[in-house]
Amino acid sequence: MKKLVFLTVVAFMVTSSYSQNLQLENAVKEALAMLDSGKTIIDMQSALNRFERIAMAEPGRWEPQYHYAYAQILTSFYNQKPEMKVKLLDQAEAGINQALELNGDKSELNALLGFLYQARLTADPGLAMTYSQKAAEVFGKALYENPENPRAMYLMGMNIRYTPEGFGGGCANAMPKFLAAKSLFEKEIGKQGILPLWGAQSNLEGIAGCNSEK
Amino acid sequence: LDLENKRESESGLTNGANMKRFLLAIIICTAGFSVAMAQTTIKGTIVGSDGQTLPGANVLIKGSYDGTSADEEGEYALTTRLKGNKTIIARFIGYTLQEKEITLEDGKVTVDFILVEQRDQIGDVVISAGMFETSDQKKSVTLQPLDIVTTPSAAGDIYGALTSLPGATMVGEDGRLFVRGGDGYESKTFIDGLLVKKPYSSTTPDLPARGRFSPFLFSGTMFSTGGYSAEYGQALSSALILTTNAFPEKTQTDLSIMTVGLGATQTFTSEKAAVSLGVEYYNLQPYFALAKQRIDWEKYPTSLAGNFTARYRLKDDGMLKVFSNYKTGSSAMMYPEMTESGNMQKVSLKDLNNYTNISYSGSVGNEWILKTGLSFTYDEEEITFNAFNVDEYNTNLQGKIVLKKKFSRRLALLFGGEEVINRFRENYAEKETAFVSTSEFDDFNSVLFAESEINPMPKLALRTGVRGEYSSVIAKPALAFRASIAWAFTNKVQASFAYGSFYQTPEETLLRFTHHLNYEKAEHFIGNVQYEANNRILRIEGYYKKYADLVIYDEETYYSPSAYNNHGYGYSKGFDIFFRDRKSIRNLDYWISYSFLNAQRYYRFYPRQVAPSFASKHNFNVVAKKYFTSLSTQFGAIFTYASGRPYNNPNHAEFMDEQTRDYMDVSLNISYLTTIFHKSTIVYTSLSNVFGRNNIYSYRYYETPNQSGEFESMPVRPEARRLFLLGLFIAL
Repeated sequence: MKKLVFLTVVAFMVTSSYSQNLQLENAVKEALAMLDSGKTIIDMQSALNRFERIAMAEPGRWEPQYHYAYAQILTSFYNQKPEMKVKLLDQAEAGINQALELNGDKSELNALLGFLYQARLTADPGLAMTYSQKAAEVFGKALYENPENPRAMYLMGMNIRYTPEGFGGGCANAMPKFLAAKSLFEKEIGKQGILPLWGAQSNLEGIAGCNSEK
Repeated sequence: LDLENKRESESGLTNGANMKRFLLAIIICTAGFSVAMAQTTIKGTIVGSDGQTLPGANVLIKGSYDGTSADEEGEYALTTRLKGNKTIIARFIGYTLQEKEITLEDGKVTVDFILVEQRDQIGDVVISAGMFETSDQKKSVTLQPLDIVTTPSAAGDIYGALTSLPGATMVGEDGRLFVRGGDGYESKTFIDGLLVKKPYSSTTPDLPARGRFSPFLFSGTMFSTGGYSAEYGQALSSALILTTNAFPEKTQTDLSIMTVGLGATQTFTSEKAAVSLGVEYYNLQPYFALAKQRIDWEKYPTSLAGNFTARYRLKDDGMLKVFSNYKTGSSAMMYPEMTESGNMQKVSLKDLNNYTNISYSGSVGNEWILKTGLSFTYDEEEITFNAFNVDEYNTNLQGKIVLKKKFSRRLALLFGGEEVINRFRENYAEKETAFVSTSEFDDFNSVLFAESEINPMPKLALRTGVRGEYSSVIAKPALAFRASIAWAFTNKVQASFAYGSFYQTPEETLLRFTHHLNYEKAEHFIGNVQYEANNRILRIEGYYKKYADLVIYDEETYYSPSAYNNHGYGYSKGFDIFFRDRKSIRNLDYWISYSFLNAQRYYRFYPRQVAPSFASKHNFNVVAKKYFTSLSTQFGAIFTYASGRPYNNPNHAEFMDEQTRDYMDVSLNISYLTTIFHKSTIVYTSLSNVFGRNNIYSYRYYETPNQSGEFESMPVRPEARRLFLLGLFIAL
């Protein structure tokens, strides 16, 4: 009987953590879909709020922090008010640091940090040089930790693409990174779950953009 | 539920109806529980305390995913199945989060929120007294590495660019850093935390030295004009802390073609390692042949340099860096024999320098960070005058280890030690008398240091440090203290105060004659107020510097050990103003710096306390750079003003009672980004002293009076009225 109770409890814990995981995964998925389909600032804000709620309800896990930070960075590109951009990005940076403290995937988090620097760059073009260098540095780290990280590769390509040609940037230099990212993204096809999976489409747009520039 | 059933059957525990019933009960209970839970709707409005509606505000039930966003009127309606005592949270970016306790029952509840606007959050305050951080940190960026290269008067020299910052004084014929009334030897340079014994190139008399290293090698520059960290010492005035570039992005070849020389660098990278090799050759003959110089060159200056850098990534964020530079050069010029006017002599120089720096930084477990390294300098300099020659050999080896840990956001500790072995040898030989004198000594300098930084609250930072040194030549210990405090009034305005005591072993040229000397000492008191917002920064800093135990000697009997003692003293006081604005006009970046300096010292051969020859009272700089996107071109301009410097006229009884005329210069530069044969190229050109002002740095006097009993003078001037540079930098 004791054994039975024990097993029942274990079974219960497994199912409840499984369903909790499922619940988290679904919530993240829904929020990501909202973010994707969002057209207005209000839509984006609702998606952001959703991410915030998930992150606040799951303080012990790094993935919700990751997605919340990602959503904030993305929103910052749409937000017109410079002070708001900075506030969003400050919050996102704090979230990434928290996720790192929770022993999150260093490669993914560094790639996201680089994405954040790129967002700061657009918010403050006067510091373009600084942020593009900082971004390049963390992308290097991200690829060192996981050379197969397609997001780090794609973002590095973006960084190079928008660096003036005089400083070694431009499409010609960025293209090899985009193509490398493309094959890395292909390995991700079919993957599901709560881990970061974004970027394949934007990478293809990067390739198309560079091809049309020729 | 399926899963549970499956597990149940898998585990084979299906015997006994009791069990089944038991489990079923649990299942029904759980299912029933959720079905039985009726929904509650929470409704309300969220407004700001200023009455503003907050569309998009987030409302949530603490600990759950349940929540919603306020609509455009700031109204929300949130439906939940949760029951009992819960906390409702309302949040909006820029406003303070608000919590309300409510009991959820069936039906509807109204909860309204009035959110209070968050005052701008004060980020962790950064101690800034005496510090010009030019690294890539987000906060307190005052000058970036690229700014150094594009400062028109700098001609690509790091030290030249730093003289456009407050606290540094223009001493054109010397080229070293003179900070806040301190002599050139009082500033030390460090690369990746390690000492650079000979940071300046060797030169012949009255020609400015340049930094040995290209500014392109560094990603961060921290220029301290006083009160710096206990990690650094043996510098009475200033520490320049350079950080070499991080991991290079890609394999590439860089070529430079300049009016004064050629260079090539090849970089190889992989995920783990990066190596770059460079070579530079300078020859001033073609340029000097075209542009008339005031100096008669017997042999045009040439130099050949090679450098090697390597980066290797290790686990735990570890990085091993190797940096090595080898340089050799020679030149010969005609220079007056200072005994009598009109007599010229040939002065020739040969030099060789190797600097190697190996550093490691990485985490060593338990959140401790280890930084350690070795630096090595070998320097050889042979100068030949008509009557004598001086050969100087200097070998310097430093080993250093630093451990750091951030215990929390509020407390960080650093401690470490270093050992510097300095070997100096000088041969002096007179041609006619065949008199030869060799002086040599070894100094072992052992150091321990510790520093703590406490942030009891985000707007307050306190740093205290202590540094103990023991030099084997001085054979006495010295204990230096450092303390700084910073307070943020708002996130834009902050004040800092710093105190530090500093010791420096006397220069080799003094230790040549006697070792019965003590450390020279300085104390700094620095206070500043800084406003920084939206890419504008205004900083006002006042300081008082007190010198003690400066070495003095009798000029007549300089060769006698008994001529030397530590009875000198002095002070510097003044203030600096720095304003930089990158905001007001698009793509225009400008800064204005002004320094007021009142310095007096009794040192070296000075008979009493006077204003030293390198101290100009007023230094003023305006630097402006504008980038034109349509032209892919940046234009830069700098105006430099330095009030006259004191000099001694031996025809007067009074010592150092004369002053040169004011120094003024306007320099311009243009950097054009383009492609040549599809390769990224920067075309750079600069012109100094556009208006051709006849600047005079100082005067030298001949040692014997002329027929009318007067000592004749010779002005010390720039080697040419203007300097023109043109360069092509190509990345393959």
